[in-house]
Amino acid sequence: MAASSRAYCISYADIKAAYEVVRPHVHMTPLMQCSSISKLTGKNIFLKTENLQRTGSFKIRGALNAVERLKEDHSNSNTSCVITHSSGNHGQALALAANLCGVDSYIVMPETAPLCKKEAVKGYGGNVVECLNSEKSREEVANQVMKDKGGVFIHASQNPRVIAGQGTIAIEILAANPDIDAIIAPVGGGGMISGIVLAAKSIKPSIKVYGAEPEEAKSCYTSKKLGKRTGNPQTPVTVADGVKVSIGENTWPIIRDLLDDVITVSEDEIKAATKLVYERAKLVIEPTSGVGIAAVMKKSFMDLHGNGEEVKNVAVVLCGGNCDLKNMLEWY
Amino acid sequence: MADRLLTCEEIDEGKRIVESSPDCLLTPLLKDVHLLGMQVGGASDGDGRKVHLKLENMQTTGSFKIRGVTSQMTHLNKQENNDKEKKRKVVTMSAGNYGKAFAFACRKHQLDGTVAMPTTAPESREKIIKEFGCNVVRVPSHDLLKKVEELQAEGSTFLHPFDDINIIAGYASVGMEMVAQLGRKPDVVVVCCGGGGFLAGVSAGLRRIGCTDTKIYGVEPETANSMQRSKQQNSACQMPKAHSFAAGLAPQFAGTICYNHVRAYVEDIVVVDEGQIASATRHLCERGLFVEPSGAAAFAAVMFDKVAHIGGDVVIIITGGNVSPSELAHVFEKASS
Repeated sequence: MAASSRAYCISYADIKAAYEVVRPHVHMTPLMQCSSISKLTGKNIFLKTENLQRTGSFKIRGALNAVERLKEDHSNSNTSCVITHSSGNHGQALALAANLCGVDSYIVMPETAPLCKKEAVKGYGGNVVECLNSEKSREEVANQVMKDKGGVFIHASQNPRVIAGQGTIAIEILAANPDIDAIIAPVGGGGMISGIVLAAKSIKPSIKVYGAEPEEAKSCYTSKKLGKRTGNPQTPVTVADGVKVSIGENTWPIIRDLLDDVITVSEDEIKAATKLVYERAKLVIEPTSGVGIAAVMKKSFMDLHGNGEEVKNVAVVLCGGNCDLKNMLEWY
Repeated sequence: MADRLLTCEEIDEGKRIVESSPDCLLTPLLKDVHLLGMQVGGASDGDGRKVHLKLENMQTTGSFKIRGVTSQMTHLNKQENNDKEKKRKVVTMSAGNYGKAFAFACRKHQLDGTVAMPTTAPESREKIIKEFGCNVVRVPSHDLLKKVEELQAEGSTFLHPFDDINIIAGYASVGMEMVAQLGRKPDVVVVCCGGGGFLAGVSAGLRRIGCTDTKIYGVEPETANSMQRSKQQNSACQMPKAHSFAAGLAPQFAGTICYNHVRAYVEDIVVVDEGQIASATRHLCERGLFVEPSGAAAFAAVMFDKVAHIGGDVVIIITGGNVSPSELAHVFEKASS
């Protein structure tokens, strides 16, 4: 199916425009070859090292695109302030993006979030507002902040400007190596994968794009299988803490139509892959990034193109490196 | 021998050996790390410096040593093997990254290798070396050289872990590679210094490729500053009390051939303390790179403004990443900031 943009919340033109917006502030992270992982998979594996990105994950791209366009998008609102709820990478990214654009930010985080994450948000100039450790409390507190401060809510994965920003990853991958014939990336809310697949197939229609999910949090896999957006049945328990959320209403249509397939991996596979990247590639990644590596090492991935469609050069997005080493030691 | 420096031919041969070996990788040069949010010292805007990292932690066996070992063994294999029935016997002394690279290469080059290591070395080191099929013999530190001489008498060829002209020739390739990758001559290059072999090689390589104005700095732990002392005293000196948790940077003497090159090509040797090395290690980890403390010393020197006249293009070499997450967690506790 052609990457027609009429049905979706964004178009490839939006992603190209996002690239112009984020480029001055965001480093084009290297696409590194890893010979040990390549040997294990029988393919040429390239790592898109977003773990090295400013704020430690790719999320700065989407956050910057959203904050830079605030005045344009929300001319009737108070655009001196942005709000979100996130204990993860989006919170840090939004805090920095807001700082760079001279805008205040309020990041609602569970009181149980690790101290280093709260400190990181503050370090980037954001205000931390604590809530209880539940979806309900997150939303309630975020709504309260919006009532008190005004400002614009920036969703971590469903905001169209955010999705467009994340799509710039694909522009960079193909600029660095036009011979890449497949891209694989972890999927949570789907912001990254939908931006990537829309951009990649617009640039190179023959390219394959795959999502990777934990078996414990496979809303994307299930949705593709049923042909209907389906959320995770309960809060997932997985070491890949960045992809616990389910895909959303803006990302689902793009995923439904354009994503080639989704590969699921077990907790043990995620841990083994994360360890492999530490030991062989000497890159520090959070376990969520290990999901993509685990997926390329699965037989089911290699079987996907046993039927004559030779996929030789595979780019795996290492989405982030914000991890607590101490926590990892428990299972390392 | 006293003032022996690598010749151009030897440097070019070292580069050729490394480039044609499948064991030696072209490691990435991570450019403009100041744009990635890394703390690179200087004023809050970094004084306009552009900092780049040569990532030898991503080299085969996890450190730059394989380049030197490959050069050493290539030269060795050119010599006659008197006992053609059996594999040639080689011996070295190292509990660290050299030992690991040596063991890896022995298997590759079909050599019968033995590594002598101090009784104080961790079990894990012995295990790694044995897994490559190398023999390990443990003796107290002060008996290492004696054990090596014993094995030499029995027919083993001794391969010095750093004070060897062939090793240094292999390392010169890093100096030349970084210039090609950067696309221009660096203004400053900062290198971790243990025995000084790597610093010697990198600086010789830089000069060979025409970087005559590049200022080259070596970095040592303040508790193991044998090369700094050597420079002050004008001769390679011993330091029996040298110690550091960055064990790779704390041999008990500066190499003689190494010192000759440092004297000829290196601007200065600076020192960093334990807290600074630990902070740099933690910072690099937080920014996504897996680096061992010995490998982070040069970065620490820039991060904590220990090097004078830093400006323009600054290349810092990240020399190794052989450390476990649990070892790293301990190191982070020592961080000064």
